[in-house]
Amino acid sequence: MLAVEDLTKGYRGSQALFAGVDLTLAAGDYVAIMGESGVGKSTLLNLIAGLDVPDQGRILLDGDELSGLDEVSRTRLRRRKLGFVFQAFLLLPHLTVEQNVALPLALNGLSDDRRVADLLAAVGIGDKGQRFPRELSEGEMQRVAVARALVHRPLLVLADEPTGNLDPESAGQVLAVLREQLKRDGAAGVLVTHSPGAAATADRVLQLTRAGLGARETL
Amino acid sequence: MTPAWWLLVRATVLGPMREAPARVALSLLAIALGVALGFAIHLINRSAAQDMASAARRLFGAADLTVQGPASGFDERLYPRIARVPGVAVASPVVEVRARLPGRTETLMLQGIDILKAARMQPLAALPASRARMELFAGDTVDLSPSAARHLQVQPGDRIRVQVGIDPVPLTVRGLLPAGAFPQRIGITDIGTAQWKLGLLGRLTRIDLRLIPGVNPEQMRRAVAALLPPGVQVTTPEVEAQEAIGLSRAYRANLTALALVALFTGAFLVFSTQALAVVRRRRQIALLRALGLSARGQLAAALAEGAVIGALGSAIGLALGYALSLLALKRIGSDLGAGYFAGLEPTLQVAGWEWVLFFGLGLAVALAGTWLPAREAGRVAPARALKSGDEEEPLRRLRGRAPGTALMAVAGGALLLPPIDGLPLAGYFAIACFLLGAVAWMPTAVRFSFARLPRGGAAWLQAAAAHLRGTAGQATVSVAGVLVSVSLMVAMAIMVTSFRDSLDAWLGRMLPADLYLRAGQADEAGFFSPAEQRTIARTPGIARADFTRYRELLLRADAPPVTLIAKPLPSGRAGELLWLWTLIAIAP
Repeated sequence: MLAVEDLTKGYRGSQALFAGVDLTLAAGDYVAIMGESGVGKSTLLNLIAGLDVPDQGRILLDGDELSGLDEVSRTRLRRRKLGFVFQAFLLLPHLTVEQNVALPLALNGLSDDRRVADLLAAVGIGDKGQRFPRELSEGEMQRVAVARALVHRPLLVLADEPTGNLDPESAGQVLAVLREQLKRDGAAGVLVTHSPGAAATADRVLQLTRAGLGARETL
Repeated sequence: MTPAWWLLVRATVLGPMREAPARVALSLLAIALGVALGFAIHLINRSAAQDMASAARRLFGAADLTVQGPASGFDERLYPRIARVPGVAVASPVVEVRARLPGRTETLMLQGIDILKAARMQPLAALPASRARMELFAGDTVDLSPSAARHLQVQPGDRIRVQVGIDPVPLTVRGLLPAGAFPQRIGITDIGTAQWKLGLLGRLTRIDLRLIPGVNPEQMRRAVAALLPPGVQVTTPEVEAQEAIGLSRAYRANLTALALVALFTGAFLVFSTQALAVVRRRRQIALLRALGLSARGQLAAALAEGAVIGALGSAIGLALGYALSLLALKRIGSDLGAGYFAGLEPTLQVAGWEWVLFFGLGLAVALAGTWLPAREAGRVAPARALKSGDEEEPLRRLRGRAPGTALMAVAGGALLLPPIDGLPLAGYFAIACFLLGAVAWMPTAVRFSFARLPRGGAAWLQAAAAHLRGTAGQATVSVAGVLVSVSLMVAMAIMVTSFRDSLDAWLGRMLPADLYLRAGQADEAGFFSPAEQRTIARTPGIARADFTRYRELLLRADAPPVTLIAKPLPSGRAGELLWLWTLIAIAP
């Protein structure tokens, strides 16, 4: 479903962030990527999402090679096949919880109130659909973000430090919800984290270094 | 179930607007005020000009040509010579006087006509009823237009007094002219009465000519012109009507320029508020782009926000402008008190295209103000903008020294250009260039200033200075908005003050006496006779009395008259009194 081959990325005028990154994910796979600060974990997610372009290598998502697509096609692909969870939640403050969750559906020209309600119930905030983000705790906001990432049944969910702003208890609950929903929908997931505890919720843990991506031996 | 499109509209257009009501209110207000001012000025100008042209045209009836003299008139012996020119079907002599009304500030236009000739020139509806026409030959009667009767609060049978010299002359209101025949305040009397009662014996001020069908008006105009003494012009009623409108042209042009400046200011305020909004919503925009909103979709959403602001602002502005023009016409007059359209009671009628035009103008202005911020929103790179602290990034690119300098240079050049068609269009253009040039220099000026903020002192002072330095781009946009708004206010203040100062200086030079006595304005019927002048000069307590005569001269048929001021000039003080001439004479 996702194939990353020999990926290299650097910033202009500086040495490569990372080189020779390979990664293969099948539907339902859930991996965690760890690494030192500044090694390019978020950049790797941006490349997989088509938000940035690699210097070298290629990314195949559901058979489409991202570097061969123009901006419009990459946007369409993101809209249909990807879900995102960000560290800062990034909910739209002027929309209710339900509307925030329904946003990816709307971007695809769809509306499915039942799906939204089911997901909100599944992440444990079924009674808060009419509230606005400012009325929620941070843990609840991240649950909304998880529901939003999954609502349109994406093939792949990219989660960038989703528990970085949460207390341990909330973090544990959010990670559990994320894993559970990924498995229930059969979506693949990539979790970028600094936290060994968070990484442990994934099926496997990988370590990103300048030399590439490899299995992490210890947590 | 919320339709998908509606959720997207809420997410990208309406929601952000609800989140920032003050910003939206400011933008709405800017557009509404610009549209209101523009619409009101347009309606007032158009109504007044249209009614004035219509009123002026009705004075000439079915005339093909008109011979027009100064207010003091011309010798009536010219009349038979012109009436005999081959090709003239009817020649209708007219004595037209703007008569002062004792005890009132306004004047009444009195027109003396030869009823038998005028009946062949004017539409019958415009003249007194036929059975009563002969009564116009009575020596002291006048027929008033309904607006004049209403204004003077008189009815048929009442008497009015007009001032000739400094003497009041009574006239009996014989009847009212048909409603709608003359929209202006006017009185029609017999030409003999006018000549006799208004001190113009042996004089005419106008002769209206109707030509035999098939005669070339231009050839006739040349033939008649050859018979005319200096100061008397032959022209067409259309040119006369245009001239009547032309009197207020500069005034109307200035008001229109003011409305345009208000609209420009509105556009700039929309730009600055939208630009800051895009900067502050950068992460939200990046999120939407990451979730799959296309760059084109983001651009459209941002423009839609401008369109909503433009549409609402225009709607409010149109209502406000209409109310403003109604109020202005009712309370102040169609010339906003300037005196150009005195005696006219314009009606306010708005055509459908005018509503559409000004609505579209407000919409266009809002979209123009939104365009650059919207384009920036469409160009947001999601990966970078998703990081916090990226808000200042797009504003770092703001540079404008080269275009700013170029604009200022263009403005300087434009100031040297002469008026175009009598209007200072290059001057308006120069003002716009100066303003835009100053705005373009803002990023440099703000960074220069912020870089010199003190780095020591109290912690709060250091924090404030550091914050300003770190958000210089956002401050630039705000400062530019303030610059444009304040410029408008300062420009208005300078315009009004300089006009007032110039007038004061002019009055100080022209009217340096302790006391002034006026029989009437230029070309009104009021004057002081030589005997009255002597009486005034001999009045105890008066050390010296100078008498001045004002006359309006027609130098060109298609140009406004020139006021000639005749006053005694002691030889030793001529240069002092003719200060304007002195200034011109010493100019290189």
